[in-house]
Amino acid sequence: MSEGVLITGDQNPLHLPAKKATDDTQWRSLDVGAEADYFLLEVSSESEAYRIIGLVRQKLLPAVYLKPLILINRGGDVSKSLQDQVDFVISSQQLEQQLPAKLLDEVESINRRIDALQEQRLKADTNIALRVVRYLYSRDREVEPIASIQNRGGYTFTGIESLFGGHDQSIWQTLDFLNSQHLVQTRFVTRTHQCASCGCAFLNFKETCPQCESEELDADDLIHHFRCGYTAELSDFRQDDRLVCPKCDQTLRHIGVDYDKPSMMYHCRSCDHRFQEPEIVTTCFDCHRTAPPENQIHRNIEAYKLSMLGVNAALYGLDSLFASILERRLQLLPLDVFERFIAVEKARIGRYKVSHSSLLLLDIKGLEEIYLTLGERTSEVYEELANLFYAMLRSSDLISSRNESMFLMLLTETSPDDAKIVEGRLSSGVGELLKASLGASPEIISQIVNVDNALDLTEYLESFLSEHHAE
Amino acid sequence: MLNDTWDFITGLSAAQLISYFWPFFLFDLTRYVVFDVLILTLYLPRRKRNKQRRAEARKLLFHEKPLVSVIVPGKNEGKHIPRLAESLTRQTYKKLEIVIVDDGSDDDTEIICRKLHRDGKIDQYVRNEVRGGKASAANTALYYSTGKYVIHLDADSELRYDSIETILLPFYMDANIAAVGGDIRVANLSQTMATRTQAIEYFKGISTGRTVSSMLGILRIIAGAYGAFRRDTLDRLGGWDVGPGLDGDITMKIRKLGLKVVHEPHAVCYTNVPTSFRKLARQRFRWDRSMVRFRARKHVDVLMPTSNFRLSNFVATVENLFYNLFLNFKWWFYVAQVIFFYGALLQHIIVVNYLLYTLANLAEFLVATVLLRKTLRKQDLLLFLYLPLMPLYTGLYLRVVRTYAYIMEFIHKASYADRWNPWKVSRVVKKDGL
Ligand SMILES: [Zn+2]
Ligand SMILES: [Zn+2]
Ligand SMILES: [Zn+2]
Repeated sequence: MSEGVLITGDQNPLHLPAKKATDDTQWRSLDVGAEADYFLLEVSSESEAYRIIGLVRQKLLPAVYLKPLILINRGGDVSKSLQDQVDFVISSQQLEQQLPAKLLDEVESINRRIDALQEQRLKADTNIALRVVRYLYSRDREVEPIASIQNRGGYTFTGIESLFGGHDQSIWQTLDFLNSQHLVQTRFVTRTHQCASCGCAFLNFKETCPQCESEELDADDLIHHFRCGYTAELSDFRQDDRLVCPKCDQTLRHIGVDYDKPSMMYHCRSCDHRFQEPEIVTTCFDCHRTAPPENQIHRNIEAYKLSMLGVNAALYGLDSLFASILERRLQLLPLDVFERFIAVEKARIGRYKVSHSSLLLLDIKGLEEIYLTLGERTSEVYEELANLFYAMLRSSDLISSRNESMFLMLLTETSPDDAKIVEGRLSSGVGELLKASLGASPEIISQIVNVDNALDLTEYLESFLSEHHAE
Repeated sequence: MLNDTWDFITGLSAAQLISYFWPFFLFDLTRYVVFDVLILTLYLPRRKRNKQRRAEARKLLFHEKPLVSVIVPGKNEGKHIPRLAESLTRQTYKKLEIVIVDDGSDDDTEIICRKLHRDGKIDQYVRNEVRGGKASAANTALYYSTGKYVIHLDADSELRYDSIETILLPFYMDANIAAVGGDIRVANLSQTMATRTQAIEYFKGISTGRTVSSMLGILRIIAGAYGAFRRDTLDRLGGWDVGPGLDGDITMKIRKLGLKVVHEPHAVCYTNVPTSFRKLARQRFRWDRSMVRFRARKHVDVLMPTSNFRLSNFVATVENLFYNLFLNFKWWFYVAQVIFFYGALLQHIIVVNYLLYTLANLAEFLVATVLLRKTLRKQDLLLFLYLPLMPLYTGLYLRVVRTYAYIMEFIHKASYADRWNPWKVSRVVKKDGL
């Protein structure tokens, strides 16, 4: 009864009995595989696996991006990181027979949770914080930091990594944000030093001379011979392979019994300074900046799981989810609904051939990360932003968003030239507003497209995204 | 009653005078008279004659300008170090290197000294996490100092502005001099009765006593609180041996090398002394025990006619043993004698002894004043008002403390368990019979 979609790394998908397959071209569609119970991954290499997992996890529909992933292992070891990014790993033999009942049970329970998330099955999740919250909810598990030299922060959260499409800084920022909103509970795991300039956790800790900053130091123990009171550096006592007191010629026998080491002394080879407390400095392996350890970032590395508040947010949306503000104020349409309106408008124009409508796209770069800078004040800014849109648009215009920073407006009965005027006003208004709030105006990209038969919204958006958001 | 005493005095025959007051006339008077006469007739004229030589020595010193290491070993002395470092900058001799060794302090010493070191107010700071005792701390300081001369200084002492220059001069007058003792004065003399009596005692014992011993070539101690040494000599000896009494010990070892040790009464160092008689008793108990240990045990060889026998070392040790040990027990003998045989005259004998010793103290004080005159301050001179207390202080108080200490040391070898040395050190030293 349960049915999966096979995804292969090849261009020509392999078909398995009673199972649908898909490939990259089909993958463009918004709801591909939404009805399946799980995705089966058959790939020839780990990098291929990561690429496909990325494709799945970046999709917009919960039914797609949260879908249980089953990796088919054709022999050999599967890395810990890859295991962490899929839900199950099975052997090809297992696949030939029936999938194990226990696995199907778990798939079932994940899917139940995903269903619970979807009031409307086709509603898109665009907010990365919400996506993380929903992922944590659907898997009902803690996401643990994994030490990794691949990751500049020294740790990564392989479980949720694929949701982010490769920028690890935003994983940290998102988790910090969730924590600040009490949506997650943390469990202390360890602590790291990170470079204050670039966040890199790979720091070289070095002892240096407090006088000349040289790193070329020798260190020697001080030895105190009890019976004669003589105290000098270890090297003065060394005779062949024994320690002999230069004052009383006795051989030292047992530390703590006839001698001890009361302290240690450093000697700088470049300026001859002798000292006991070297200056500790850290140099970043990445940006090469040097700073004392106390000036670097010292942060707790924690594991995260949803709090009760987080569970609530997973089910009913983030209270502070900014799109909801826009939604309320502007009647922001869900993307799929907007898509249908475009189709209707295309048909109308095609039929009467007397009027023009324009599609205005406004992409405010980095807006989704505005909460990382503004925190709780973000909602005010969104409120003002909504007011601005409201003032610029006519009541007959329709608005939707692809994600929190990309807005789509259908300007009915508006020629591309008139749309230009709206575009100019909007982007300068948004620019000024954000400059006043953030101190710097973000990059704003806008495009105007004539609404006619040639317009395929999905294709247009994908090509825009691959052009402007290619990482 | 005073009339009775007067009659008693005037009625005394010479023989009676000796038999009633023999400790004073046979021992103390001779010592005082000998000392005072020597100072007045030999030392002062010689010093006057040496004026020219001293001027030349001074010229040599300032021409050569050797680096002088001031080493300050100690535990929990951090609070004194900023003031000490500051006061050393005001010395007339400037080429100094300050080396502080922190022997396992458990207070703020480390924080204070690390800062001073960073700021360049002290030249070296060595912290030993584990306490090793005074000798080990001094040896650590010696190891990390580089000066041609090494001055061992207590952290809570303060030097007169020209003191370092003055203590170095003897090295430039006689190449055989390997160590010079500074003159210890009481800094807190006006604080309590205990500090005043100690101030007078220091004038007599250290200033006058050591000047005479030094002149006679029998000086047996260079105070740890303030003494200057030639580095080559300290290196030859491997530094200090395990104390207590390590100051006397190193002086003796230098003498055994055939080198001279002298006292310089004008190289002044002010130090704080115990403020109550109770604390003072504890300090003296420690000092007196170490006297027995080093004179009578470790360095008993100077009394034997061996190859490195030297008359002056022999005399120095005998004189010390005699005056301190023998005279101390003789005093108890005298007390017993007076009580049993002259019981009826007890009060007269006490009064007369008191008068005799007061006069002797007065005479000594006057001689000290002449000897030290240019380095004396007004409050030093005012001490003469307290001279009448001195017979009680030296005659009763110190004797009781000293007797107790000697008995304890002979019976128990108590100083090995001294709290000035950590147990790990005392244990090894006791086992090896050092
Ligand atoms: Zn030794
Ligand atoms: Zn250096
Ligand atoms: Zn860096």
